[in-house]
Amino acid sequence: MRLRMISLFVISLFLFSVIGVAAQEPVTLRMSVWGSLSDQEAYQARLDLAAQQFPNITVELLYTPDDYDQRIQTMMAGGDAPDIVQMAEAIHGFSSRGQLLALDDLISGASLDMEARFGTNHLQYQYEGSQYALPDRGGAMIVYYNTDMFDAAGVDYPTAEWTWEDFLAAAQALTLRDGDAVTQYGFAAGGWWPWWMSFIYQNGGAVLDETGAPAFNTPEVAEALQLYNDLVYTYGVAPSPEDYANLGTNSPDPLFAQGKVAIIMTGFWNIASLRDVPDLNWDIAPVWGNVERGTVAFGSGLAITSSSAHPEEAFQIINFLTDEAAQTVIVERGQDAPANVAVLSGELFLSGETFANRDIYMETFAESADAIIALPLIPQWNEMQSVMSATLDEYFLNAIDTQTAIDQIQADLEDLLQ
Amino acid sequence: MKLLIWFLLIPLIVPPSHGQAQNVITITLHSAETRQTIEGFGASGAWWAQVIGGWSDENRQRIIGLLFNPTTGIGLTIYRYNIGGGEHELVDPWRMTETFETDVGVYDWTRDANAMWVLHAAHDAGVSDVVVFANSAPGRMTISGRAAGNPGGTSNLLPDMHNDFAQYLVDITRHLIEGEGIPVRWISPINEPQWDWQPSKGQEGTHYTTDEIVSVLLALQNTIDQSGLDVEISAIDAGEWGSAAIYARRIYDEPVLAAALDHFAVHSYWSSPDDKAQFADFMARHYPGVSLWMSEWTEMQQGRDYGMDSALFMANVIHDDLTIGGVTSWQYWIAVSKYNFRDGLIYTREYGEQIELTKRLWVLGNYSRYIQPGSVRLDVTSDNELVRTSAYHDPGSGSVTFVVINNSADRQSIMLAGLDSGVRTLDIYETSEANDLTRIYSGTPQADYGLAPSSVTTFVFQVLQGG
Repeated sequence: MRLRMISLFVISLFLFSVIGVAAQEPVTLRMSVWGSLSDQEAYQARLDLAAQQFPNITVELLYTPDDYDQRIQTMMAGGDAPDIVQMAEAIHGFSSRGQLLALDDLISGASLDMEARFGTNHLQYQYEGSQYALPDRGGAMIVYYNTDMFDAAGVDYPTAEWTWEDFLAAAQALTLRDGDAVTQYGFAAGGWWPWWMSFIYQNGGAVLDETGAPAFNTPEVAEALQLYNDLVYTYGVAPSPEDYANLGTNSPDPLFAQGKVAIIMTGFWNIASLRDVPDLNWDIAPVWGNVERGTVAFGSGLAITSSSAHPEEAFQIINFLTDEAAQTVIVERGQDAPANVAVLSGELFLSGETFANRDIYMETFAESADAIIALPLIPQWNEMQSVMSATLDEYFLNAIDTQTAIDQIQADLEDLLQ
Repeated sequence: MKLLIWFLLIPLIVPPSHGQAQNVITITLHSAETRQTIEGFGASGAWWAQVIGGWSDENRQRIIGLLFNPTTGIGLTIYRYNIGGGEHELVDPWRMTETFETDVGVYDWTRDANAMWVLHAAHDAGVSDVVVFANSAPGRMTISGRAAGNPGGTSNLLPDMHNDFAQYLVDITRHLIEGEGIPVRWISPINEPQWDWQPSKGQEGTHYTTDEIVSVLLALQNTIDQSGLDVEISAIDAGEWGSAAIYARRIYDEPVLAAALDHFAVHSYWSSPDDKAQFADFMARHYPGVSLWMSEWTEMQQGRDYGMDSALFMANVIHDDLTIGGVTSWQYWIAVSKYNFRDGLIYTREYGEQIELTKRLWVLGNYSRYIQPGSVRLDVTSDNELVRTSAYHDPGSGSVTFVVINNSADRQSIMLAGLDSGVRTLDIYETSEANDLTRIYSGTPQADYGLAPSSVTTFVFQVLQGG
């Protein structure tokens, strides 16, 4: 008996040492992200922190600035998928194909309380009851406005209570002309889906109805798109696609930074972009509404590919990256709004001191929380975007009328989702 | 011993894939479904020709051979000659240019001698079509007084210089055709007009508004008409597919331009397959007689790459442009690069005459050497998304050519179905980690074929004479 006990002890010791050694074996993971070079640097800084915590895990950062979804899809199809991938609205195109790992067992194994860490933000990364990503970055689309222009025009600053009527009146008052030429636009947007889609939802419209069926040819959608195009072609308060091209840009953000437009809508990241622009006085506010308020939640999560040879180590990394220490780096670098609720509601973020060099209305993000629209994040999200933009790009050139546009999109969506 | 010899011989006597155990991918040709007629493949002489043209004859001839020789090189048939604006205040000497103009309407044709040597050598090597393109008018015609753009990134061509610029381009073109014997077929006066070109960007360039574009094109068309030259406008070298409709709409809604411009030239930078499909569809519905050119592209990524990674990326761009965008011509950006960037088909160094080949060179050759001008693209379907195939019929020779991209890291087996039953020979050319556009098989068609991992392979089926 004694001998048997000793033998068991020796065997246990042996097994422990083997397992212990195995657990410390070096593992190399690859993690793919998009964004700007400063985004890349922020991810690397967070991974450097992770390397201190997990010295046996090396994470190579793959920076993919454009064609992200397509490149990831190609890598996956080619058997060369990264272990960890940044994912946003297109996530369920991947999760529905089994290309991402369901994280439920790993989450429960790590005793991670999703609600406590992320609030409700994690729900958008669920598909058919399983969790496919941990939220990493977040924040609503908000209004940026030029306070000097508002003051000069005698227009009250925007608030969450603004309606379309208030918005249009302000945009008209803020638009300045020299003869036929616009010298200052009241508003600027364009073909990017968060802009026009938020107008649709503000008017009680939707892309898909509650059953998931296309709902694009409705009076609510028509009225919203008509106003959106009228801002350009009837009221003349916003630049057309041709105006953008002639101004040498394809986005409102540089026009705002150049002092050529009074109101734009974009994400948290623009705070850092505007911080050091000289002689530009600006603030932020929640996006307006009409029948109801409506804005888009930007953000991305971190997912693990189903082909990863090291899912446990990959989860250790994404769990760490979404915990407080690594999420604080996002705030310290002024990169984005963090997804971690504790960091988002922490003093550092709310003070704005790390990303804004002026007093700005940081409550904007909290006031936007209840206006976030439930996006139709179906597996065909990317295809749906293609279908809609194919027609809307032509509509925004004023080459087709509203009814033609919404009928075409409705038909295309029905074909896509049948 | 006999067994060993037998095994050693196997790779030499069977098609490269014979006996693969894995599933065979079926690629089906639909020869009745014809698409665009290919005008050719090409590259630009910008930024390198004025340097390489001054190299030792052995080395510069080697560059010419690699790019334009249809047998030993990749057989490009289109060459883009940059009509410089004479910008000399840039940091990078490669990006400076010479202008022939010495005074209004006065030219010194001995200038730009190195680039002119390359132009002649390319023509001698087999280039049949030359595009002359300008990134900017000379400084005397611009607001900033420079060809490197306006410091504000706004329009730079003086409003009263549109006719002068047109005359300048036509004068140079006339000299190239009549004085030098160069087959110039197209003049491209505008390049990526949507961007905010300014001196800080370090190269020649000019922003144009849509009104200015229409004005410049009308002035150039009028000057060409008066010149009697047999040349056409190539426009507008739009910087991306996504915003190209803005410009196409303005140009082709102008009757004079709609009658004169038979193609619209667009660059594939920053453009997704969706952007390409959308613009191609827009043009087909609104301006069905206008073909599309892809007239400039290189991968916009820092760091050199000599291998199959960037070559495969390029192959997929070419494939998308041909099959989704439906372009009739595909033209690469700088053919030779000294930069730490994924550009250039051939790398060199700042100093010396190093010639360092890339897989991109040979992958472009998988298309350019075997798809002759006048070939008609045929529809192809595949039952595997990793293996992407396009096919072409050459009415002159009767050959049918498949270019097959294997995007997977594994070896793949394919079967080519749908070819008619005429007696044929088959040659297979592979670019892969192991091969540089190397003929890996020549013989009769087989039941199936192997694709090397991460490779581009060209299959040329030829009808036998008298067969």
